[in-house]
Amino acid sequence: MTSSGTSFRFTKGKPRFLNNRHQIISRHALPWLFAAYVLALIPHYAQIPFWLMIFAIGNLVWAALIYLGKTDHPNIYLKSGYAILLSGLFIFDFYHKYNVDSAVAFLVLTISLKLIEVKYRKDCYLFVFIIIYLISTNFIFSQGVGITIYTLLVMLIALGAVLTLESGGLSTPIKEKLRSLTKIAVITLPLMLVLFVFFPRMTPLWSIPLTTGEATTGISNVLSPGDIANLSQSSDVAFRVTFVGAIPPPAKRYWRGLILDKFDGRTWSSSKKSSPVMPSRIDTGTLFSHNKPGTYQILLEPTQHKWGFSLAGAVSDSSNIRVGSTGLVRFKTSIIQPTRYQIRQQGGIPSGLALATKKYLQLPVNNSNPKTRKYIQKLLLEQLSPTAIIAYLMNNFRTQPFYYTLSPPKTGSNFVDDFLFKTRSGFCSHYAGSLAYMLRLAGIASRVVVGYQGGEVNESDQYLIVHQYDAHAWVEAWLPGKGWFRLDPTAMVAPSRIEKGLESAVAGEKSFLSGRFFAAARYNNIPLIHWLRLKVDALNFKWQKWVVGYDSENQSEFLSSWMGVVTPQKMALIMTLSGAFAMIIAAWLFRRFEPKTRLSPEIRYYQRFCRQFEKKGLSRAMGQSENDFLKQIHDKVKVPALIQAADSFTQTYLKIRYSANFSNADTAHQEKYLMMLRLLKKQYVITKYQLLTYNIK
Amino acid sequence: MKTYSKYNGPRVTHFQKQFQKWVSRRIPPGKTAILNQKNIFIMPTREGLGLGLLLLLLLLTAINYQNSLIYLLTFFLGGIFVTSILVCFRNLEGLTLAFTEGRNCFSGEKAHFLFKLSAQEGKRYHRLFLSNEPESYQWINIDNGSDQRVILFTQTRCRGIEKPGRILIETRYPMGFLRAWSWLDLEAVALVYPAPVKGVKQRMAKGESDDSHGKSFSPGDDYSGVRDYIAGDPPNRMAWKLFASKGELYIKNFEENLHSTAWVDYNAYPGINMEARLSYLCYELLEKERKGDSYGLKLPGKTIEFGRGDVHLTKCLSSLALFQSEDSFKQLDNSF
Repeated sequence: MTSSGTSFRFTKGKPRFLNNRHQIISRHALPWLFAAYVLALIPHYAQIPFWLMIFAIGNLVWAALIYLGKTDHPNIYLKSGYAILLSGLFIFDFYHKYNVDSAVAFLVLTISLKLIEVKYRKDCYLFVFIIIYLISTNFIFSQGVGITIYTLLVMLIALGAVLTLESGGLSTPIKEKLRSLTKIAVITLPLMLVLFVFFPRMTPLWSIPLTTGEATTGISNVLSPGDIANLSQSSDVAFRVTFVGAIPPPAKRYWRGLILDKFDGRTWSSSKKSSPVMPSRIDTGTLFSHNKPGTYQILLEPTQHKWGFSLAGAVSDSSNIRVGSTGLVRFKTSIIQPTRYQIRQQGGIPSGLALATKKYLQLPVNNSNPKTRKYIQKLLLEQLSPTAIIAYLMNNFRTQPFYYTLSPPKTGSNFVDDFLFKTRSGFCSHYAGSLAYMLRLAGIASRVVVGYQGGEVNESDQYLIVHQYDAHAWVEAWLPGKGWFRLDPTAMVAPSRIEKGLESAVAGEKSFLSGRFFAAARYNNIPLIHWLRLKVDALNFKWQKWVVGYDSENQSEFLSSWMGVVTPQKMALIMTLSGAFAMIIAAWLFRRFEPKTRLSPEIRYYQRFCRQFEKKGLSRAMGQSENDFLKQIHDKVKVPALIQAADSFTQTYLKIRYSANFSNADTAHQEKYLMMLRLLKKQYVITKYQLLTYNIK
Repeated sequence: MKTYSKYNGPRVTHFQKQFQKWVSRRIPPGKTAILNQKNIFIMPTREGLGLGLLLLLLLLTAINYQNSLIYLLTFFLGGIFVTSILVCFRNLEGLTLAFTEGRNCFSGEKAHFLFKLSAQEGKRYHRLFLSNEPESYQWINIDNGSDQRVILFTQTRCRGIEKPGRILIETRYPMGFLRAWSWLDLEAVALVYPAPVKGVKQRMAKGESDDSHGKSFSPGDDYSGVRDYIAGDPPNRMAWKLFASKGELYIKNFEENLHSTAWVDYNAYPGINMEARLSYLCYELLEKERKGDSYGLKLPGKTIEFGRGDVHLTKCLSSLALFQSEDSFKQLDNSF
């Protein structure tokens, strides 16, 4: 190990601690740093701007050249000039954009600059710390099992760099370091689990910038024709549902999310901003032990929005949500983490209308869609009852040549006209949007509902997976005496969409996940892939439920289900006990990892030699010398052949054992040593066979 | 007489004194020291404190983003820190440090101390740092229970008994976040002889002779045959040519040799300060030994009879080293 650069605080007469912060680090640490750097950047490739990625790769090449000795460390002027240039670019790019993306980009900028500068111990540690913080941001963007294992491994590799600084000399092989790392990681696991379960979860200390504006997934609060068709190309999971009791049939799985009541001739949107929702404290919720009949639990993937989903007739059954007057689920904050909530099924769509009649009859002020208006006016002239009009219009979708397609032809500014009378092919948003418009023209209060429909049942684990491609839009209409009720024009056009899901509805045009070559759901027709996908999803579901979704609520529920009322004293006791338990496991694991002291082969032969004699009643006393034991054999044994065998064996043994040449497996004498061992083995076998036929009295 | 203080470092505060007392109570001196719970200390390093800051930052992020997996990462990293305490401690535990040999030297030179560092059976130790003085340190790795030799030194400044002081043995394995260490007080000693300085003998000028055996400084060359070798004869007097032809060792006899035996006398330099006198005597002794003369040493209160050879020389030099510090003699006798 190099000692150059080691500096000490000089005080005569007393040994001082090593102060080697400015020690130049060993070359051997650098490959670890490079590996950690590359692996830390990979999950962020989409988040950081292109120019930064180019510089990040460029800096790696630069650092590699320094490592290989092709160039020197940059001097202070070059270094600061370069840093100023990159910081300038960064400020230019991210000016006034404070979100997680810019924070990640900043961290990437910092480590890529630090990489070309890593020279001393202190740099190495700083680098490792920044890397670890950077990889922790992986979890803000995704929370799967895979990314978790990946991130923890990258952290271990980063720590491998500082382990390299502190372990062994140059000769320590990489295998040895990996072994040390594994050992430390395995010993740490029980401790980590204890902390994870018992460490008290707190509410956020201050508000934080949201991830990003554009990274929202799932449905949005505006619906233009063709909007949901984009979602149909995504096989991501929107949410998963577990029911107490039977899973309802597909035709009843309408997951309401948003009500759109404002139409401008082309786009449906929400008339009011979603008001801040106070969490209801009616029910403490029982998320942990979910067994109340008539309830279901939803684990929602992050949407970056405040809305949740439920079947019609929902009552809040957990404290993190509120069900509004329109029967929609709302959270108090945007969902940036997978979130669990519980719903009690009761009744149907809430039928409060009186105050809002005008809202649900609103029509665009401009004179768009003349054909449609004329069409409805003609219908109204026939003096049909509202029920009959609804029936007529719905029937119209079935009887007329309408097509259900994921790639509808373009429509002009009068979208409803074009769709109803010209193209006649579209997606659920086309059908729902135009039907609600026609109903309003006919004086029937109506609104578009956006959410999901259907879902895939995971048979083995009995839960429902709702994917993004299950996104759907339908219509709710209101009639006096009947209240709100659901109308789904898509069901008229493509009944298989409702009954069997999107995949079978678009089987004819083969457009299901056509753009997603790697989506496993695309290969549902291959049984093995289908089975495997559901298994992986079940694992992910459990992971989301028990690990990712383990929040303060779950924690207090889990703890109280375990030890009754949670008091600080009990908590302290439990933490101490489980900490001690983790330490005992750690101590046991230490022993497991301890290198076994293997006796050298000649000693093992000698022990076997002694055991053979012991079987015949002649045992070697503790600490008795080899020659002494041989003498004992001479005295007791009267067979010359056996004596001779024991003699030669002992002689060979002593020669190997106490000759300086063979100490510590001297490599120079390896050959001779092995030869002697073979001889010893032969002599042992001879002695053994001599003993077989002989009994010592 | 100029006094030399061994510990001329910065002023020691009351707290430091108390602390050193506590350390000596905790780790008493001994010939060998085995490292165990009693004498191993462990504290986080600067890097460890940095890790603490990182953990705090991660925890804040986890809390603010309500992110379970960042909690998980934080606990994993925190757990690794806790595990490191055990690993770091175990990287010292079971080591045995024993003093083997002190190498005497002349004042102003470095006194070397040899130690044996033995591992617990089958155990591996990484990157141990041993030091007793800022410039005297050694890095050691121990693979599978072997013994390692440690050589430390002190820069000597005055004659007498030299001790290496407390020996720091430190490790930062596995990741440098923690430092485990011990200060071992091993009863290690080496003698420091006075620095040899050529002096001018005043008695020559005065014609005074305490040299009862005649000529002392003229190198004799009256070759008068050979005699049989006696153990302890200087190698430069050996008759190598005879050895080559006969295969037996002979010593060349020089006529004047019989007469060139002389006392090396403390009183030969009156009026000169004691340390300087001892340096002159040291030079004389070395010079005589080099020439193969037989010599004796006269010090106030101590006389060493005539003789020659390494053992004799060492005896004489040791007497110089310990002159007028009789208590040191006792100390030395006890420790040998």
